[in-house]
Amino acid sequence: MTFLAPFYFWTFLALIPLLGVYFLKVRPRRVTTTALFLWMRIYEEKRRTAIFRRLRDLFSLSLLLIVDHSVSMSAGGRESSLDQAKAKAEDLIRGLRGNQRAAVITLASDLGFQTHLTDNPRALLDAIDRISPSTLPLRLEALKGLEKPIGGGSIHRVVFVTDGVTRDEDLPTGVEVIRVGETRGNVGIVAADMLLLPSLEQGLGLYFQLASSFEESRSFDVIVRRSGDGVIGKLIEVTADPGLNEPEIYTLVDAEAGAWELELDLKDALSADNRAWLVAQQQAPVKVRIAVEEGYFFEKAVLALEEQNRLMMVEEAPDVVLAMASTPDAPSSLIFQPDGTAQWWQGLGDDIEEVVAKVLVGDHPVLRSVDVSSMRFVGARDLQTPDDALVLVESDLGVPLIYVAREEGRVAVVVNMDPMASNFYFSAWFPVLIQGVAMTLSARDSPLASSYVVGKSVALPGYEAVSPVDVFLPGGRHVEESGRVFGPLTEFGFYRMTRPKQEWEFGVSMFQREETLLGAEREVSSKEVRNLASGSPLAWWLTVFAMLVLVAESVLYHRRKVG
Amino acid sequence: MLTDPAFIRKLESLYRLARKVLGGSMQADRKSTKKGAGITFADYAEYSVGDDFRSIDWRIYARFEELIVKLFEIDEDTTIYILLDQSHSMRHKWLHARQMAAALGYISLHCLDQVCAYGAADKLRPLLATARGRGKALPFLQTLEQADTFGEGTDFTACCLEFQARRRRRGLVIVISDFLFPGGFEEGLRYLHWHKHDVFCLQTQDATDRVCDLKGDIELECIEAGRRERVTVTPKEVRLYEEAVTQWNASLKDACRRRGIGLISTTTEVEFEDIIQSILRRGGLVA
Repeated sequence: MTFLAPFYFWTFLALIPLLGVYFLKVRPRRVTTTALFLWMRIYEEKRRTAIFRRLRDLFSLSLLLIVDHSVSMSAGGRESSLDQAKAKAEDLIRGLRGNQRAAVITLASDLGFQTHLTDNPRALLDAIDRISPSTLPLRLEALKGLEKPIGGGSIHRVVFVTDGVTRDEDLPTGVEVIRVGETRGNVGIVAADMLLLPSLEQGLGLYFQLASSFEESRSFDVIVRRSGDGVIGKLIEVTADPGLNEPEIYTLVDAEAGAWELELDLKDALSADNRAWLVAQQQAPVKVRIAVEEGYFFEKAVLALEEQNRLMMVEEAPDVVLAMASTPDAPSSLIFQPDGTAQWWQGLGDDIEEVVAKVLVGDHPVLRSVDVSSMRFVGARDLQTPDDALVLVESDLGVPLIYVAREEGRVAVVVNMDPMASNFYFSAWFPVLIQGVAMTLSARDSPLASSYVVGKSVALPGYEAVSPVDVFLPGGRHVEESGRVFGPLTEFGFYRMTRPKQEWEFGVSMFQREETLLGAEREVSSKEVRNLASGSPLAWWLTVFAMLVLVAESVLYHRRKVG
Repeated sequence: MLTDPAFIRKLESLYRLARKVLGGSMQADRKSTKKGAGITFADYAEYSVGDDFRSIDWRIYARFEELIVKLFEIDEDTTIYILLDQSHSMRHKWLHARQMAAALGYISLHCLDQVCAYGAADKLRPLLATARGRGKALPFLQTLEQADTFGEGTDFTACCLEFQARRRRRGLVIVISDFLFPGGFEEGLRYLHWHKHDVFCLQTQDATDRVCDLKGDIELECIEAGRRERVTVTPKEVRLYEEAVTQWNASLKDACRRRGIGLISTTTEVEFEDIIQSILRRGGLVA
């Protein structure tokens, strides 16, 4: 068989049946297994350690350049840590080969893609130049968003430029770290709280904790100032030792509830953590009326909670009405044992037997502190809820057991059981359920803290409220929020929220120990960056291969020539 | 066959062994830690609404003007709950698992304990409603004989939740299973333990669960969900699989040890009467 006699190439056709036989024969046999999940774990692990992944660096064509712009990066005088990080990032971009692509990403609490993958150095340098300091703390968990591109078989290198990381274990595998900046002297407030003291007629309790990255102790004043008129409520002389200090607790006599500012009177590397914005919240008890004929157990439950200043039993103008087997004419009500005709249920049928309760909305504030599994729903009746009702607990047969229904601006929580037959009156969950419903229906289900950590979200009061909340930010912006959570909180200062007839206020402060300490407690990362140009382009390898072939051919030709 | 005379004779001899080893009837062997109505004084407690007025210590009231109630140990017998894994993964161990369930149920019924049995797979299915007495032994064996595996998977946690919702009374819960649950066993065991049940695990596996003799290109099919995966099995994968099963079983042992849960891990190669005898000889179903 030669190229001069191509007829013989037809013999290759004999390979086709051979291939057919091969594929038929090697069709995998089917085996049943009781532990497929264990097998899958093995193959998943195997995929992760595939050899082509280890060769990634050789063909490293793309670079994901992450620049930390968290609040601690703005520390420093003329040249902040962020300026140093940007300079380092620009060096890396300038060092890329022409065929290598890169993307610039910022990281504080979340990742922010400043450019897509590009080989245009001008676009990359412009993106780096645009990076500005954030008020948010560093959240390394956000890097998990990159795990897919890092671990999904793509050929990326990920370089993270930061002023330090807490622990290398927090970093996803494959992220290389460049550390910039140095430890600077800084003192900051890392925790603070303020609340009304029930023991005083008019007085506030103040709690705060400081951290210092100075190598020696520093003494200075802490000024507690009322927001608005700037009246100083207290001047406290403190000494901050290096590292995390013990918490300090003070009492402000004759101070009123409301917005207060806490300020450290000193100059240091980072100013953002020298102030805290606190609101001493004043919460009135929920007014409850009992519309039950034999209301002995209801009264006991409400009186028990009255001692805690949570509920208050009233006859006039209640926030919530408690009822049993009746439908009170009230804007908000809790009804046990549905009976008769009412707008809160339809098709009331017979008692159901052997109820197995299933919780459908476990995080609802009505159920937040109630152990539904220990409740027996004896006397529950077959019924249908109004159309837009929210069923929180239902039986295994789909009968609603606890649900929230609303109609024409009124709202009711219906508990489908006979509390006497269910022995629910003797259960600790009876007062707890009453409190949960009362607090939820009066929009006091999520009591606000005096101050929130920047970057976090705040649960809006009123899980069952229908109207949106107007949020006024410290910078003067106004946002309408109709969800259940507002955030992330990105500005320091006082936030004000309003809803018809209701108003709340809270503060947002830095409160980040690691950011305040500016890397003083941080370990120097062991993950050094490897040479970015370690992987040679394919063209280079092909050229080398061609040269070797040429040399070999020359040698062979020479030998043939010589004999 | 679970109802043939030879098998019942074996159960009878096991029951006699139980009486001999545990010293007569097992009833009331298990002393209750609960407090309530009884004759043995246990403790004092503050009066709260709903307490029996008769338990108020009026002498203390006369002296200190405080309502204090007296608590007594409850006299109660044990309820034995048998949770039998009835998922398709038990297909090859089904007879073995049923034999163990039959033996434990038979002995308990003859000891006049309350017995209740459920089959567990993707949901709970009743096998025996709460029963007491020797007369219920044969119906229990007949039910077990007719029972077959079911479901599209095993959700042990959901089964435990449903079990607790149906059976609130504390008792001894015997779980008979291979414990190869894709969703894990920790949550379910934790839930049972948290609800103050005494839990005992009887793990039964067959040789193919623990040892792998596969080689080459294989299409693995999940016996429960029917999901298929094509894989190539080399000696390395065989070793990894066997290590994974060993590790899984070790984690079950560890979970049981941490919670004070009794565990017997066995294979279908061991005769069921040998397993029951070993349980009895170590003092019953104790951790």
